[in-house]
Amino acid sequence: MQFKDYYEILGLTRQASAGDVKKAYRKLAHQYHPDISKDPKGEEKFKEVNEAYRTLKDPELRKAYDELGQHRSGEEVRPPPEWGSHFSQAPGGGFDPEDFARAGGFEGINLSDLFEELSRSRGGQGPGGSYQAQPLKGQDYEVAATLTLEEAAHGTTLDLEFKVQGRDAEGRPIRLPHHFKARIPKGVVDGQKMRLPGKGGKGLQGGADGDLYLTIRLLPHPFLRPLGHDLHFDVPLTPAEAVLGATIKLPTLKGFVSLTVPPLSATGKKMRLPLKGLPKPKEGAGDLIVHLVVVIPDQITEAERHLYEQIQALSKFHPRERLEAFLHPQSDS
Amino acid sequence: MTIKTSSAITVDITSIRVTEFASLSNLSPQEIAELVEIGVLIPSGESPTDWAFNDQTLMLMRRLRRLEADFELEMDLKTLALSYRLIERIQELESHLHETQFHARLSQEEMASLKS
Repeated sequence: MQFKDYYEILGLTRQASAGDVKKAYRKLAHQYHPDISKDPKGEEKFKEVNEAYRTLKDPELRKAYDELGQHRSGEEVRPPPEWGSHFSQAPGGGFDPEDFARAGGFEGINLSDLFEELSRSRGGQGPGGSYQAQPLKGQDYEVAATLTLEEAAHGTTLDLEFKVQGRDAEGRPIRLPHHFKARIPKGVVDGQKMRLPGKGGKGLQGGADGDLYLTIRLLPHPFLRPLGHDLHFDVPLTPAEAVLGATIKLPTLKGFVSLTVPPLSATGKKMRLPLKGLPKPKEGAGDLIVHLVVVIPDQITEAERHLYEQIQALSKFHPRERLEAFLHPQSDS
Repeated sequence: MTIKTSSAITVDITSIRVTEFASLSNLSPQEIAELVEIGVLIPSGESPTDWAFNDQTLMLMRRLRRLEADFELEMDLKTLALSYRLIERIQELESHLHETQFHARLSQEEMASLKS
């Protein structure tokens, strides 16, 4: 079993009072709680902080933790003989260090799982707030799944693998890899939440299995930007195409479409192609919204320059007319 | 030892019936009715027994319950309602920001690639 220094995690000394433990936890929770922290490592850090607090806030668990002695984090430790035995004497108590020794000792056991077990075994409220005598629902998990736009459009099968709390053959708490395939239907959008009942951690004492909550994230596509079920597409046009109009071929998620750009189409013009967006779960689909963008080349030939000069000389187009008033203000006085 | 299921399970975009929603979000039917009445929760279905909620609503409520537990708070229904609305608003703004950044970044990249 690998040791974790719970005092160090909370930034405390071993002499810290119960009040100090609470205060340190609150401060760190405000800093790292994944629902409020901007720290990308917040979730990981908060898990540690929470694990440390759940043990140190409970006088009995803290005593048991202190009895493990002082070690460096990561160091392999073995609890002293008889460790935790007083928990088995509590009404409804079920923790027996002898059982652990017979079942192969503390190797491969996670410190937090051990304390949760210890807490549950005294028949009282565990750190998770559960009673041993009652059926215990398996833990719920939240997992993010990343899909390509094509996968979201057509539906896909995800291979999900994560670790859940479970029991080995001897009943010791261990982390079990949980592996299964989940078919995602077509039509999911970025940020979509989905609940998979019974796909979380295993229930104990006949309790129901926990649930898995899946959040869908879409990978950026080279040229399509999803907004709900609509897809936005910036389509570049040459100056000549923008002025003269053009019929252009566009790739979409379902093959090519032909788009007729009317003459005199400026940058920013939007064209909607109904039902060419992401399919919706049951029926129908979003639209494909084309944003026209007029672009100019980095280099042009002498002949092209000559033609542009001719256009400039001929053209009566004056796009900055409204700015004239600002450039040459007429004095009223 | 691995927990393994051989065939793929199908994930449905479903709605959650009011009774299940109540137990998953640790709310009583009366509390749900009150949250619906003040417009914080918007169910589908006409009568309270037919009410159903989507997964987004459930996950937001669970997020709130998690905050309540982790910060050792005891929220009454009024606090819960306001916190729900605030988190919902933050999520809307975050997703709006995410989309705007995404659009801006892609447009710039696209422009750069067109010129190269």
